[in-house]
Amino acid sequence: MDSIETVLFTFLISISLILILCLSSYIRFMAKLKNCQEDLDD
Amino acid sequence: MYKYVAKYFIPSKVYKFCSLTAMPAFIIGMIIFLLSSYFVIYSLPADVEQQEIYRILFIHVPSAILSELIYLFLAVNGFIYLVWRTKISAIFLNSAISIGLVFTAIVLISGSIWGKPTWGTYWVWDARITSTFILLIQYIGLIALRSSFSSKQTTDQILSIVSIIGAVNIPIIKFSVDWWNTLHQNASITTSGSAIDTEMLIGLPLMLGSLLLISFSIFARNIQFEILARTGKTTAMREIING
Repeated sequence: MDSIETVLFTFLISISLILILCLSSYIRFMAKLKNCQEDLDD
Repeated sequence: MYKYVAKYFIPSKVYKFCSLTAMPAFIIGMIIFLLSSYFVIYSLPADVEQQEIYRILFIHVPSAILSELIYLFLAVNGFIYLVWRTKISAIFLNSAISIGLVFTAIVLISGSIWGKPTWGTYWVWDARITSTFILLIQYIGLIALRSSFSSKQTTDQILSIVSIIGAVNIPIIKFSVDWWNTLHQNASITTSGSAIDTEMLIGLPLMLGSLLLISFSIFARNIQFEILARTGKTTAMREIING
């Protein structure tokens, strides 16, 4: 791989890992919030 | 002193603060990240010796700083929890582990990719790399411990103790390049000055700032999750959710 492509690849992998964590945290929180709201409604 | 400060860290207030700040922090962080990535990849000149590949260090170094700072944050919160039993410290501790794990993984991955053209190998068992790898295992261990006990209190106590003991690795990572003869180079930025050109140096705080903001948004969501998970079906939960 050309150097600049390697740099882009590294940046892409890094931000992908961060965004996956971001998304999973958000989904986990929203699921918990939904459960709590359902519990409170019951 | 912390007990005095902790009075202001009431879970309902922290939850509300996190609700208000998580999304703006993420958006601002992503904008700065994209702009500074463009700046460090396309605007900065190539290095005389390393050519283009040195640009990887703009993601590697901030991630390394964050991975170590987050672990110190875990240890400090673990200590506060063990001494003063403040619930919010345990929530902070639990919320930061996954972020530290991801940044440590990024340090090792980006370092390996940078190492191949620079050192001629993806991996060597030198002091800096090995101690960072141990940090990764420590984070994995903390995540495994988090789901190993049925009682939240026991989990928080064990996590606090392990975090404090594990913090001994942080100065080892930091000073490994001074204490041992390693392939990894010494620190480029010291109290006596910087070995990096000023034009190139500006990229580091920009990337660090953007990653800090994105980390904060993840941290805030994790805090909200932990607060909900620890609040029973009471009016307290109704107050938290409805603000």
